[in-house]
Amino acid sequence: MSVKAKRAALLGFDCAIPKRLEALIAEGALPNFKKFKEQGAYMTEGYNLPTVTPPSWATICTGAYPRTHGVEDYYYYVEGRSLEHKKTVQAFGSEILTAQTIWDRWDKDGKKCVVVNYPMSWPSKMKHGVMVMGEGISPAETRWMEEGNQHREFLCSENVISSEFFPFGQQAVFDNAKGWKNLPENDEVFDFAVDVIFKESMNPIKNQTWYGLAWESGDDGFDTFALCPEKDYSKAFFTIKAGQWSAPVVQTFITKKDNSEVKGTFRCKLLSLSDDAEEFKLYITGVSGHEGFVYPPEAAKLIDFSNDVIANDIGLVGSMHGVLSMDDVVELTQFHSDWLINVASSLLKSNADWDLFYMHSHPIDWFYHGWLADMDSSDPKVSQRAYDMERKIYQIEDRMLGKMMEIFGDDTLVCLCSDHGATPIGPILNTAEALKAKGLCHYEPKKSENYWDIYETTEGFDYVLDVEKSVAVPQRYMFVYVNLKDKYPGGIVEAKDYEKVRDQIIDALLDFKHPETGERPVLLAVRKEDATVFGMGGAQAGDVVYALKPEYMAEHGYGFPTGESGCGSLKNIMLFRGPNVKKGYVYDRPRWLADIVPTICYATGNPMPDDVEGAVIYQILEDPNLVK
Amino acid sequence: MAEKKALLVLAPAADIAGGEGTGKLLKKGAMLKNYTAGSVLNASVDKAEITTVNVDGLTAAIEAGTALMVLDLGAADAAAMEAAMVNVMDAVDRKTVIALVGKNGLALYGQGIDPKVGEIARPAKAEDVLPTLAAIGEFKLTVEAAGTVLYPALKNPNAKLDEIEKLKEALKRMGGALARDNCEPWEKHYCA
Repeated sequence: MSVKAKRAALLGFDCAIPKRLEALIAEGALPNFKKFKEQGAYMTEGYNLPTVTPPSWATICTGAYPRTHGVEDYYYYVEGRSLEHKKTVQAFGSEILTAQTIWDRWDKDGKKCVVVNYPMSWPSKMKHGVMVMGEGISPAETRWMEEGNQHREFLCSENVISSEFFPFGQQAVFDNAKGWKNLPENDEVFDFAVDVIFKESMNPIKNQTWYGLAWESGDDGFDTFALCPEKDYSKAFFTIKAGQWSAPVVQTFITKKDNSEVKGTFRCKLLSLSDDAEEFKLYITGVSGHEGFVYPPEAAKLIDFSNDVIANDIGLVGSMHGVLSMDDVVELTQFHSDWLINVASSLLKSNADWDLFYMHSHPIDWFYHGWLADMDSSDPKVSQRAYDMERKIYQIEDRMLGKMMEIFGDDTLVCLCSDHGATPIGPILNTAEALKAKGLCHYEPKKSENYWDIYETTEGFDYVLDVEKSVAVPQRYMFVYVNLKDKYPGGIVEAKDYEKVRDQIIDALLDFKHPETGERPVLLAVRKEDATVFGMGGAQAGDVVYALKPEYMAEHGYGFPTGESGCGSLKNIMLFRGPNVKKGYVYDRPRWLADIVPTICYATGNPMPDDVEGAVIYQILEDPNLVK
Repeated sequence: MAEKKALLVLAPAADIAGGEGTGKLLKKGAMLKNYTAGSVLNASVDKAEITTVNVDGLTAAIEAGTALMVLDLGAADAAAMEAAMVNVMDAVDRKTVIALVGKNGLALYGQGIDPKVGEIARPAKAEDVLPTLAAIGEFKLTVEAAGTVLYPALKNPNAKLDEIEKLKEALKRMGGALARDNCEPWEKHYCA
């Protein structure tokens, strides 16, 4: 009997932290992770650098280090642009990869690979496989070439219609309902009309006028709400009460580009409705498209998109704006997970001869960005509330794992991993300040008359870096560039002075003492070629690569994977289960994410991608000598 | 242009009895029967603040966002007043507060008025009407205003303070959104 697995699957849980996973398993909250761990091999020391999403997922699908696969940060420096950080773009998608992916290699041999929501995968280059767009952190969205935190999605992002002002929403007030057909039988029915704007669309769609209705179901105030696409209650999308979610709604939208019709699914939650209908808040999830993000396109026809919503970012931004509560976010996380499960299970069912499955899921990362600081709070109520929420988020992922394991069966080699961990926010390091102290960098306070800049002043971001007066330019999370005259727009450093300036940058970073703590926050600062030792230092790295001690900055992306701070840790989870994998085995030596691809290829007898640099994790295999 | 509008209806010769025009007003408003009649339109407001309207012009005045409207029904009897109030109730929007001064008391209804308060026993007098409407609406009082706000009739006696607080929160949210759009590499990122 062959000990080689028939096929392989990888489930990526972005930002899952080993010690948190272990704690939740120990308290009995995660039965499926527990079972997986007991029946497989678990690695306690999962490493990668940098500790941020795009480079790590690039490593997990290529088996190569960032210096080789060409993605070295959350952001990507576009050649020819100014070194200014704000000119960098988010580093997602397959086009920037300079190393071959496992699915492209297997596809070359005629294998069928199914890839769902994998950040570095889209557009697909496969001939035999199926792919659901992964060019960001949520399915069917792109972040590639987008600056800051911008994104676009199929069909559009979330919205809120409220009596209050919210930056991403629209305001409305109820008035006496007039001009309606089929109004509910009631003394008093109020309405509003809103020209709904659909934002952040991959394929922009035209506004639609939607109408809200509110009335009293009894005599204790307004408590019932309906949203309608026209002034006819018989055509209402839904009727709900405060605190309730609507059922999924499928609506047709018209594209701005060519007036074509596209379908989308959304849900709404009536977050609040005062008894006089003076105040209300209606949350509308992003509208999830039905096409445009699956390759080949005909594969989408076998998926029913009418019952689930993507709930991009699980409502993190909505919660930061004060629209959504922690409970709302947990509910949206379940919707997000349901969408992924539906898509993955539909594709694996309709492609029963699949050989490789890769899928990424992001809720844990969104959670830690939103609430890790609360977990570390000295207020026990705040802390407990965050820990409870953490458990719920992991439990949603646990249920997804259980459902996917039913599909995978016992003859599949399954890897569970995360890309990095997280640590709570500590003192902020303004790298430009450290460089300015040694005369290497120049910046001026903002001279803006924009009233809103007052917020940047209070948070310490109230200056503009003047690249043309700086010999050193900090960029992204771990880099400082020597501003070479012949290489960068606005550059001022002669080529002959390159090494001298670089040494000055390293000295400035290492010498810098944080004004709040009086301690040195920089753990390490090296020349880019020295960073190749730990997998960085390629074409996308700055001239100096530095890392911070884990108690500074974070949630992640600034420090070494060995970093621990507060309740967090920057390590990643790595577990394997399947044919020939040791059961209940705990492996406590450091292993890198680059080791995943070669292990999958070796254990299934499939070809290694061209650029693999990691090593097979022989120690977790019952029989490591598969080549006999 | 005012968002919250006030309409003062003067019908000193008519009893407010809950007929076709005033039924809804009494059902979901406040009625102060212990009311001492007098000059409602006194020095509490500058004359320039007042817009006199008739029933036919009321809809236009409301749509124009007129802050303080006065509809003087003169010597109208109860039947004429009820008929006029049918039109008034049809014309007003939800952002309008109505004060109806009748022969048997003062009725308050609409924006800012507690719809469940019903009859209020405390005494009220003519000079209280405009300060009460001003506490809800968007017109100015003068230093001559001597009346008091009829707080028991209000849904929220601290509505304006609450509104300021909400505006502050809205500004904060807007500021937060702008700060996120302008974040620097050394600031936290929000995802991934």
